[in-house]
Amino acid sequence: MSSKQGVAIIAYNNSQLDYLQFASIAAGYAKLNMKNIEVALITDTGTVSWMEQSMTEDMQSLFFDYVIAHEIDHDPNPRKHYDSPWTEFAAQFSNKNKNDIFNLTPFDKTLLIDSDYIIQNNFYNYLFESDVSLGMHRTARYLDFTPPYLNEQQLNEAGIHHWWSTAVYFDKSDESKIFFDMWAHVKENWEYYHLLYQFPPALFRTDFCVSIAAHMLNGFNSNNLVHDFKNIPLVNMDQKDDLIRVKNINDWTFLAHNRQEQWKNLLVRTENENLHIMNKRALARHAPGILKELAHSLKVLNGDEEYE
Amino acid sequence: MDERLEKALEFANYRTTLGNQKRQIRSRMNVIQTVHYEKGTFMADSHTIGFVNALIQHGKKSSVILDIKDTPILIEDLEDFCRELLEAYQAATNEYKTQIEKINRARSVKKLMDW
Repeated sequence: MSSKQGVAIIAYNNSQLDYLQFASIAAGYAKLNMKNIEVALITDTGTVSWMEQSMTEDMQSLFFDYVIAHEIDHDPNPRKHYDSPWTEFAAQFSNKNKNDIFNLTPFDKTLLIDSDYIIQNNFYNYLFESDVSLGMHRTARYLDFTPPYLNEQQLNEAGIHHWWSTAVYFDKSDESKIFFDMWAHVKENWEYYHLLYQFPPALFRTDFCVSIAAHMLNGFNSNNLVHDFKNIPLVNMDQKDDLIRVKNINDWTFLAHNRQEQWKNLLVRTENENLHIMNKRALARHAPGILKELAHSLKVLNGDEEYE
Repeated sequence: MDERLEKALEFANYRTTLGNQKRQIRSRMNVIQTVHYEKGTFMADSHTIGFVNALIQHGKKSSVILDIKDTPILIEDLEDFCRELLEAYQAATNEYKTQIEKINRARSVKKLMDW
């Protein structure tokens, strides 16, 4: 394994959500559960200032091997978030430069993950030893095994298949470059593509960009140019679910709400599962405890502390 | 509430939660059991392992095998492939057994969650 390989996380803070905190958690989990992996944080200068205030240098270097900061103007992209079925709020969703990762990543082989994606096992390790050029999850499920919402299965009722940009694996091949160029092209021509592929244009979603790029690169078909992570589904925690306990670092318990009768909940316990935590406020509530545990576990892993 | 109804509802909750936990464990086993080999995706189950072993027993060193999406994949080293399938199968079933035994001992939602 001579080429540089690692996990990249993009995080831009806003007034509502501390994405740097989420990125630190995601980075810590990736380092703990994937072998010998480096993590790069892609962020803006404002978030770096916040990092200098909120994290010690030791903590910064414990979680991130690279911090790549750049000046960027975020276009307004307000998104409605839920925290349980009963609370909602709006926050800026700065995702428009996600496709720039192809140029920004310091690695030859990169697993780009969202800052709310928690890696609790070594599932993705095989990618770095394979000749896969490009990979994403093609399917997903929620904690209670309900399928994704209709607009997460297809771009419209009779539309193309929806791919998930929560975790994108890529190398520096020509195929990958074409994919990211196509992603940029869809972004730049959002108005046209929303008419062509018939999806609501109000919220800019990278899932739609990658779905269209994958569809076009596959010859306007459901071919297999894009590797689908062994057909394993992404596991989503709904924004209306709640995280109620972090028993230990890879053992989490949730309340999964019932979509038809939202006042009903199912207790779900996950162990060593990769999780897409869509309820950001729920993650934020547990963040201090998780970060403390992660820091200790990473120091033990690095041989800097004894196991307690 | 009638005590019998309360107990029945409690039991129903337990069964629902238990059912979901069993699916979680089965799903985790499925992840461990899925093998990426020579650009193909294979399920390390008794059927695949038995078939690969049959090819080896008949003196084959390499063979084309259909993966889970019916894509024909040339496996150049059947012995190595078989070894990888067996490793994945054993890792998955060991984990499955440990986890299933743990939840089968838990007779209430509280115990299932180890609360």
